[in-house]
Amino acid sequence: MSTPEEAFREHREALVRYVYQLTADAAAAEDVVQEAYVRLLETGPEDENLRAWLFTVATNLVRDRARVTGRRRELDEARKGPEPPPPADERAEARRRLERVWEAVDRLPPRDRALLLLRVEGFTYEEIADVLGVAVGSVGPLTGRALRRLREELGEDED
Amino acid sequence: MDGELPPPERREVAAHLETCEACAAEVEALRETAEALERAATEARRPPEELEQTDFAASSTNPSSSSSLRAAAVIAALLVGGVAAADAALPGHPVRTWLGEVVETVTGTEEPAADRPARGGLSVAPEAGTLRVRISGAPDGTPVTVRFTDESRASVSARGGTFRTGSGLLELSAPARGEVRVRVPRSASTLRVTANGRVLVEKASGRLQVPGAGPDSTPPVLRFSVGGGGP
Repeated sequence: MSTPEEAFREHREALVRYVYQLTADAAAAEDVVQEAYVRLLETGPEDENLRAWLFTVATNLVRDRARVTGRRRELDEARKGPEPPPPADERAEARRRLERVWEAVDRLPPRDRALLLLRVEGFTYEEIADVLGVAVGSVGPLTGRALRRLREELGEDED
Repeated sequence: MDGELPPPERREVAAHLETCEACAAEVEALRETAEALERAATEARRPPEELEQTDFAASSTNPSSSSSLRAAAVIAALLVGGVAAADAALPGHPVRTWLGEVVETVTGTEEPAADRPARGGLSVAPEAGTLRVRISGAPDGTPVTVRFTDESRASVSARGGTFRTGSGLLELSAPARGEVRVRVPRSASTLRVTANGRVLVEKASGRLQVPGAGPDSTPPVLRFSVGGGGP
């Protein structure tokens, strides 16, 4: 049987990627993953799916932080001012398209964002249901709704 | 679309999509959106290398830099002259500002510790604004990182060792070799972090003291190296 440390290391890379993509903030991602590790040492699961458990803790920590920092982020956004014009060459344009996808993802409700990123990480519907605390049967419809919202957001970007 | 439907329903849906253009178009659009996100996740917004390489279970301290050496010098000045004197000597310095923020929280409203469910083990909430973190039996040269955070609880992580919590108290004894990470809330009005009997960080009566912070300390992260042989 692996130690909590070994188990954590097995999922660390995916967890860091997920939290970073969810928050777009390296310092916040470091804090969240560190705290998830601390909680694993404290109260980690015995027989549960450890990957789902770690991602659940991380998702909840991101949500808790968002409640505290939401106002601060709004203020930061307000101070940012207009975006610079997009670069002209093709490679830069491809890069800009990818960034537009992330900008659209960032505008989604937190649960949609988490759901889509868990799906990208290859989570099964059962695991997604565990992490987000929803019924397994609702993951499919929620995924469809989240993708439709993302498509709408992307459509708005292209306008 | 994700292959999660049981085979009988999957066949039903596939049969419907063959005859319903609207639904087929909708599924295709969703598939394209999902693919765009997968591409974006693979090709953009990758975690910074430094973050990807962070070993949360046992990482080593960062190499010192000239800016962190300056930070340590300022901390030393604060210790000699006290916060008020340093204020006069170093107006507007980032470390001074940071210490000021930490000290200012003393008069702020205490975050209620009961906000979050109680957890045993490695993290603890302040008791009436007071927190003590005690590390003992750390091997010689153990790096200790103390990070001030906006969280309401203090926590300690280390590779191995025995963890205990009490009222506003967090204890780690005999950690295995490797970094010990301590996270403390800025909001604690009284704070004491000790390692092997040596005071690393102390905050009392609105005054923060950081004896012996290592040269690579950069607020809000302070780094120490702990000698062996303590209790």
